[in-house]
Amino acid sequence: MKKGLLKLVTLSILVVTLASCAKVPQADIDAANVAIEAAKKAGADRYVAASFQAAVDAQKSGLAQVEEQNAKFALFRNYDAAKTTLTSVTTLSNKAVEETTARKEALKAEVTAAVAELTTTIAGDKELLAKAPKGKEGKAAVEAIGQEIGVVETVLTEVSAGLTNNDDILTLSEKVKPAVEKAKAINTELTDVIAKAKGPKAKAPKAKK
Amino acid sequence: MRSGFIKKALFYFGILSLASLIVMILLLLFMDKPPMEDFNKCIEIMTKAKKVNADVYAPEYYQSAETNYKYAFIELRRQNEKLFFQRNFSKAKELIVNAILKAELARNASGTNKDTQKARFLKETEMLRKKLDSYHEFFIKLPLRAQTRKDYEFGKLSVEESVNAFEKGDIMKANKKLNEGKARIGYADAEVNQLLKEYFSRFSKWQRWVESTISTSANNKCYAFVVDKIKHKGFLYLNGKLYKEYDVEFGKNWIGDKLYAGDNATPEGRYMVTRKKGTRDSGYYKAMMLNYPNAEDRSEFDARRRSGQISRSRGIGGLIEIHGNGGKGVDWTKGCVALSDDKIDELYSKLSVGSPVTIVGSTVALSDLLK
Repeated sequence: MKKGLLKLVTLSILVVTLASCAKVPQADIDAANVAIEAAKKAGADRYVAASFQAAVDAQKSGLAQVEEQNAKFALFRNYDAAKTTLTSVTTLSNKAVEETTARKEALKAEVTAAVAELTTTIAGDKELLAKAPKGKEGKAAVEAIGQEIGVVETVLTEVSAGLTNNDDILTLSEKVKPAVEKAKAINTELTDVIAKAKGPKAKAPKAKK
Repeated sequence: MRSGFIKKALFYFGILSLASLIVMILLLLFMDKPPMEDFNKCIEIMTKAKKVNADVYAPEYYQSAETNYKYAFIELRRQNEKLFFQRNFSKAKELIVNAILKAELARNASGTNKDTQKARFLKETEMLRKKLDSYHEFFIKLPLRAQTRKDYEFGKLSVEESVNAFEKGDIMKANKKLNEGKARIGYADAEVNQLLKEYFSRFSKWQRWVESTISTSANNKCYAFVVDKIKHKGFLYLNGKLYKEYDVEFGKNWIGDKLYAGDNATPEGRYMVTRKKGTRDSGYYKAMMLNYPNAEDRSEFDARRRSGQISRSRGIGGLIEIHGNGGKGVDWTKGCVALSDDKIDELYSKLSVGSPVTIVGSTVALSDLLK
């Protein structure tokens, strides 16, 4: 009877002690890891680097807070602050994913507009090229400009295919901009060549040269 | 008896509990503490370093900070898994202090490296852009292969892509694109340099001709006209001094000497005006006919025909003039030198029959031209 009572008191103390120990917030840690990975997979580290970094920093802080509590005596552990920080990781990561989607959409719209502009400008360039002086008056220059249009057209084809294949929109955006500038420059050059060629007509020259 | 036993048991239990508590308090007081302040400080410094793009501009330090942080954290966790009185955080401390040090170095070096890399990148792109500009104004007139021109154009687009990437802070892509651009421009350059090197093998001869023409202008106190094909310029001298310069255009195969009739090349040599044609006589507004072919041209033509370089059926050509209807910005004549009508008016009034006219590939050495 006496022994039984002693056992009961000891067991009660042990149960109370163990029950009062806080648990490591493993679910929050795992959720934070999953959220960070999802953000990275979405490209947040490239498209919205600052937002992604905020999530990563919060994850580091959260994990450090967990370890800070782990270092304490079991009875004194409290993971509430760590849990709050780790929950913020998921929030920040989701926000980064949303921002990435928006940034990608904006870039896609920009690239689509640039492709349309490039298509129109190339068509204009070709039209001007057809009007450019042929024959002895600038045939070589016209041929050269035609080759330049060919180069810009190659870029247009690559970027258009990239849009269809959902290639990295950031790369496509960097690629299309110089091509648009080049196509515009060709337009100016051709206009200039045509204007210069509209000089006075020559009389029929003598044959020998 | 029973109550005495319970009292005794409770007493011993109390003593044991108190002793355990004292031991535990002592252990807790003297146990090794984890370096949590250092961990938080490290996170803070690494965030600051990342904000100044230390991962891009001081990657070695930044990576080292990341690695040290990672191992410090692993070590922290490993120690925390042990019983509290067995823990030793000295290794974790050492690693996290190292991580702080590297993060600080990365943050500080980032600013300097960014400036250095930016300066280097801008210098390189500026150099390439200059090369491309000179290509556009000067090389564009050279008779190059279509592929050479394409290489230049793709090179130019790569350089611009590189600048875009650099402005977005993507230094890796910027450097990759810059190198791609440099390579393509390099292929084109090789062909251009080869072409020009061959062409400039006659430079010493051109130099002598130009010097002699300027001397004639000085000695005879007259006008003389020197045509520079590479620069597409005509230089009018009076009394041996440069009087005025004009933009000129040639035949489409202007690089190289005229070899035969109909090759659309402009001859190189020392000539003089043999006849002046007004608007009624000239098909090109006004014209001044030159004495092409001169004796030297004839002798060279004969030698080439004898050696089989030129077919026997080919003629030497003639009727080379300095005439109007130019200013088109392209090389369009059949071998003549063309100026715009207002400029030919000026030149026509200065040159007379007998005025020396010298046509050369270049008035400056290739090395100076490519500077």
